[in-house]
Amino acid sequence: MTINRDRLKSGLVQTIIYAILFVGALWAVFPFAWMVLTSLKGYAEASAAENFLPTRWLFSNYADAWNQVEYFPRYFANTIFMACATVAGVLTTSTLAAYAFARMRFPGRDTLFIVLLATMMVPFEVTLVPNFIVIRNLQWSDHYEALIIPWIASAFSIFLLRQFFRAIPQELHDAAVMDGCTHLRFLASIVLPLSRPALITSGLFTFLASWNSLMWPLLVTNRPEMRPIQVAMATFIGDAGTQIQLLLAAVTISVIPVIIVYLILQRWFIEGIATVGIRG
Amino acid sequence: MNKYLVLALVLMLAVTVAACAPAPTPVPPTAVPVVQPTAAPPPTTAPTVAPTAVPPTTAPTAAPAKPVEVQFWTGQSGPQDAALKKLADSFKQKNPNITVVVTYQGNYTDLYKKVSAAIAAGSPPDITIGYQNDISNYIKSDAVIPLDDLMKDPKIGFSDADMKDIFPAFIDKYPQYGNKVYSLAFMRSMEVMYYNNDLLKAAGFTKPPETWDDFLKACAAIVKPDIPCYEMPGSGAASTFADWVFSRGGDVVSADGKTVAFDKQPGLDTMNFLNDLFVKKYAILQAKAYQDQTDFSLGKVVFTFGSTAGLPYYASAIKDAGGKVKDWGIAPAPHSIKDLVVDLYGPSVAVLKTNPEKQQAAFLWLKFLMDKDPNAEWVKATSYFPARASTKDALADFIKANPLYGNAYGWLQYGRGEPTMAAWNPIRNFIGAAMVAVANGKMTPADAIKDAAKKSNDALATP
Repeated sequence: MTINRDRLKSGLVQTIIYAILFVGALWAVFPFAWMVLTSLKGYAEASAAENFLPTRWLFSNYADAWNQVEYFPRYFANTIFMACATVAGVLTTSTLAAYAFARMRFPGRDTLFIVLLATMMVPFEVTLVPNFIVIRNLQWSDHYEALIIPWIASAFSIFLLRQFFRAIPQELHDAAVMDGCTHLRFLASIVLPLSRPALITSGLFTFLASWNSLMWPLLVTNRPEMRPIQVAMATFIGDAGTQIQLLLAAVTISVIPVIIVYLILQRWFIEGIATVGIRG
Repeated sequence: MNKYLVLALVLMLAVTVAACAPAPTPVPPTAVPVVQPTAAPPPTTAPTVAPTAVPPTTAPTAAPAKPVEVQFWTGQSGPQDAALKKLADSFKQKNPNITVVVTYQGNYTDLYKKVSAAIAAGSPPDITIGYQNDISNYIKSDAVIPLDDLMKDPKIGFSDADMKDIFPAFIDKYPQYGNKVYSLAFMRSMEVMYYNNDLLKAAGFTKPPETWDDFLKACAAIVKPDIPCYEMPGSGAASTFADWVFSRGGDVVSADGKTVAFDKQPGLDTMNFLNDLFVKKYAILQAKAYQDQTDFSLGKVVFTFGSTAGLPYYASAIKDAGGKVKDWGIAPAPHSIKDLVVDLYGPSVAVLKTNPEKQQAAFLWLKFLMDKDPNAEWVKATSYFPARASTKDALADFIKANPLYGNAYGWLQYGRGEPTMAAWNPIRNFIGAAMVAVANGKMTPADAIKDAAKKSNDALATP
């Protein structure tokens, strides 16, 4: 009887947990479902947003969206390259800088770190023109360097990684030094494997920011062949109306690579998050 | 656990500082376009005189001696970008030494940011599209040239016949800068009233209202709980307000451009009228941008007011809705004065300060865009209105296929532009906010006008 009651209680708890998870999953999936379904509607129905499901399923919207943008494949390739290169750059520079701030002792370290953090409060618009002048003087306009190099150092990522690195026990470092480990070796062999969650988080934020960027690429490029996917999105927004069904079809196409990247990396991503919980 | 907490805190921090972080600007894919319709000559030069369709003389082309490349920055994307590039090819055939490079630089807000940054960096384009309030800021930076001399140049300028042919609302004078012409337009849109003729006919009306009293009568006869007479954009509608003030014989800014004029009786009458519409429940506020187009296509609103640039969107929505609205049309806003006045707006083109060869080549390109045949090609691709009365001849087939456009073409001669000063942009916001405050019953019409006028005059007084 007690066993049955326990089972019943356990089953009830499980049901409640799954119900909450189901609602959470629906909550997460809803925007994507809305985006895909709206992309299959006609203009009036998409604008009205009264029906969740399309009355007519217009798969031709995808062909129309693709054909309306002349350089769609090129925009795609540019964005993927730009985002991946920026992530690689940010992780490299941030790891080294964060390690120095967390583990190495040098004069003015903490002051320098505060100055670095302060740069996060400077709005993008303030640095827009000076950065643009630098790019122009370097003759990087219409080159990938202009799209990538200015963004491969991130104060936010350095801050994030520094906090993680500081939490790694000092004993590990002392033991490694006793065994003749250099700073670089300790970073590569011990710190980075233990900091996978922070690295993934930092990489993900950088990837998304790079994927969504529009103003900076518009500023430093003139040739369509050098521009990213967000430019394609902007072309569906007109002066007196927005072809929302075509815009969302284009957005759906543009997020497919991101979903594929996530599906490939999800094991490491989830593992990374799980590791944080266990170690805590 | 500590690291987990740090991760959670950092994620929260990232979200809160994302807007401030020096990272590339993410743009929501569903961002609504910033439409800042402004335009045309100052209020002092109300261009109500119909231009004469005189065949323009062909000015001798002063081709540059050596090849010149002209960088033309635009806010035109997709099919409009393609149409401009095609015109650049045609121009190249007639002017082999001039190569025009047409470059889309984002919407008008992005374009303004890019041009401003390029000016600051000392590498501006040779010629750019932009709204007059943006161009006003370029003038302030001493980055654009006045076009008066080039327009009068006997070799490359406009002839007398040209000037008679061009609608005055396409020539932008800037009263705050010596009333010089700093920009010209090869396209304009018009503020019009869209009407559902099915609903009007069912209520016994044979034509759209021509006076504001007739408008109210139509509303009283047709309005039902689920069919309002008018839908107002949720952030107000400054161009509609300006058009309604024009229709009552008023203006939005004083003749010298130093103070607002919408606080005079026509402006007050307009706001009182808007108040009446909401008090009598003839009008509703739109829940989201362009909802009036959608509701109009579904037969859920009698009248909407907006740009003729919306015609293709209305047509598309009505067709897509399966013919719920069969008979619809456009008309000038009802008016209480004898002479018709319509609000014309849209971006213009300014030539930037570079060197004489480039400036001349850029001007020739601008003049080409305003010519009859190229302008007609542009119209066919975009449904905007052209700069010249004579262009109508080249648009016979287009007008036959688009009769609503043809109707509106006849009202171009009554066009009046909106102010050209930089402060017009914030003033538009103050007017919009005043309209919303009245619609929501939070302010009386008089207080709303007074408040908007004070803020606007402060903006005008700011150097």
